[in-house]
Amino acid sequence: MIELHIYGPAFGLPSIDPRCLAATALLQTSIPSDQWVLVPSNDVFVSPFDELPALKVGNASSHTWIVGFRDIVSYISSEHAEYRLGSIPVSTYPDLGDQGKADLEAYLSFLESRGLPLLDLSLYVSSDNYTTVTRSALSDILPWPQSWTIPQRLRESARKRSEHLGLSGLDVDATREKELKKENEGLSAAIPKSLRLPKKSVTSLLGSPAEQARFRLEAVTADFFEPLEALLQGKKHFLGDETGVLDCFAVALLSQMSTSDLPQPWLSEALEKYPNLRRWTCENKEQTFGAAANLPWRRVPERSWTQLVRDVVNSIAESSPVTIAGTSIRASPAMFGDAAQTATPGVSKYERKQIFHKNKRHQQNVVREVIAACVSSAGLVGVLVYMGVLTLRWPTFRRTQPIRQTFGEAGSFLGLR
Amino acid sequence: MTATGPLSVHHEQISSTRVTQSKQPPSWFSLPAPIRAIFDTFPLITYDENELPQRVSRSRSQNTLHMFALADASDDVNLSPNPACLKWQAYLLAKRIPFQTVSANNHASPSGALPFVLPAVRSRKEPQPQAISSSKIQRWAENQGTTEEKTDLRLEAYMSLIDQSIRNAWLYYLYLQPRNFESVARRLYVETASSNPLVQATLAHQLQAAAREQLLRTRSFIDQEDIYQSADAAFSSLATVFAGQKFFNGSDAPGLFDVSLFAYTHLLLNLAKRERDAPVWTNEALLEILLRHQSLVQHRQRVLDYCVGT
Repeated sequence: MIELHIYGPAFGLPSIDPRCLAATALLQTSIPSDQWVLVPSNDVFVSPFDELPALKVGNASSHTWIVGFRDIVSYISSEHAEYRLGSIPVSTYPDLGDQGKADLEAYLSFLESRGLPLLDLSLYVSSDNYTTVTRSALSDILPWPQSWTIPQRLRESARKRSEHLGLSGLDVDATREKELKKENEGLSAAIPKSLRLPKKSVTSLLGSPAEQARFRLEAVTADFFEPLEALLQGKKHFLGDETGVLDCFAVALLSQMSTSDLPQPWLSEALEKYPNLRRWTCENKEQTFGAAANLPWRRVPERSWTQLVRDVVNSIAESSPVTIAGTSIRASPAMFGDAAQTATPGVSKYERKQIFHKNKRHQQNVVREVIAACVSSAGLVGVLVYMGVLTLRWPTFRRTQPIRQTFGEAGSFLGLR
Repeated sequence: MTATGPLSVHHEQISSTRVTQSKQPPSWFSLPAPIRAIFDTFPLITYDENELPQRVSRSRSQNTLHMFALADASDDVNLSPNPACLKWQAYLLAKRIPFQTVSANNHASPSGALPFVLPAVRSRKEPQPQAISSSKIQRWAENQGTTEEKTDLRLEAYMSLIDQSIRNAWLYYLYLQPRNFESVARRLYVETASSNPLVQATLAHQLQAAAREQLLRTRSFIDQEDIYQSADAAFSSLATVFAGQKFFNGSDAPGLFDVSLFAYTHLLLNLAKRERDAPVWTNEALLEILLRHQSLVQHRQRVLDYCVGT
């Protein structure tokens, strides 16, 4: 049985994360629903790779994890030739030849590098959307304590991924802080706040931040939608005559982009302008993720108390300012480099990767345990000394010559010697 | 300013009054002895002003591209060893826009990133024009009367292969491949910036951390095999779409797409030349991947010939 672990459902779609949605769409279209299960585990630590979507293949005793959409595609197409998208094996377009393969590669990379940042902007960076919709959707699906720490972390990484688009102005919180700082500088700082004249520029009169960034948003969304519209035209599939990998990724992205019940729905409004894309999205969204799709959901098993303790420790370690143990996870991520490339015969590429990551995580855990042990034993000794249970004798050194401190005439006058 | 500037004159006056005062009985207004001693032990020297660096352009009548450049470049046209700068340098060369290059660093740029263009000033009275950041160079060049490129929407998709797969592979290959970092990146970016070992160590660490952070934006781990594989796939896709054309846009002159690819392929091939003591790759994994796609190697030569005209 194949298990696909993803972030849980939101916005009427099976997952809140577009990459997880894409993997779901791929499995839904290629594998019969009695041969795989969909687990909304919401836990990146479920696999040794710290990433979702994660595919678990094998039985309970020996299994392999495959993470990321691309790896899942290449795994299914190489190891499971029996699964097909339509009538052809996953990821091949035999009738399109080299040109089709080149196009597939290019458009997949295009969706990934241009489409995902747009969703990041719309769902995470835009303050209105994040505070009213995304944050509550995330806290609905995430268990405690992750529901406190992960949304902020996801927002941070979304901000980084989309900063090159130059639209951080959508993040009202950060912009307002900057404006306040500017206001309190220079001459205007001397004037009491109640007496200041509000500075009205044309852009600030336009209202919401999405309105202010309107022109830039138009350009950025057109850069993404126009090439796709040109590729799709009136066809039923992006490439070839059958549903392919590209369609799976596109339906995931476009379905999430078409979510219109947001306070700032600029992304779905932009999609409305492209008739072919809009029509295609409506049709395929319902077919892939709707009630008719009949996704093989499986409930997440209840967390054991060890998992809960692990989660609490992880959240504390990653959000505390002094993250000695926490940095070992984030600052030194696993680097699967030259040393790990020694191919062992009989072990697949995926298993090799997994072993490497497991070892890495084991090392990190050892570091954490050592640090935790040091800190707690130091604390214990401190408490014992404070309570007087333990007395420490400091080695004393006798000074050979006592230093004479003199304060001169004033000292003798005041009686200091 | 010379050594006998106004400040030092002032100091002489002070000392002369002090000398005359010391002969008089101390009054309430004279300086107390310990403070006077301090002033006496520090002779006031006025150093000359620093000269402006030689490379600062004095002629404002020419367009100036500020970019990262090596001082002792062997080529006649000093091509930048940084892909982002080389892309726009090659673009301006290909568009036949006259310009001069000036070596600069990120701190000199208004936006904090290189390259940027300072447009020419026609008369002395004109105020200094606004610097043009790299994202606006294309529009600026089109305003200079070059032919506007027709936008090919399919090439937009292929552009993301360069921006994503090839760029990631470049970042890994240059900064995170330990041997290449020592032999190329350290020599290009660290040793040129400072001679202080402490500063160098910090800078090297910052560079590697920045590259790592870039790669971790989309994945939670860095996998060399994945990175090289997707670069290979990107190169072969580009080779397929290129198939037999002179340049990607099908015309006789390289366009933005050509120079974007050229920026990476040229540097990969150029830093493999073993000549004098130029920086050279010690690990050739990515270079070997590129060499498998000979049509891209020939494409690089064509762009180079067109731009540099050798």
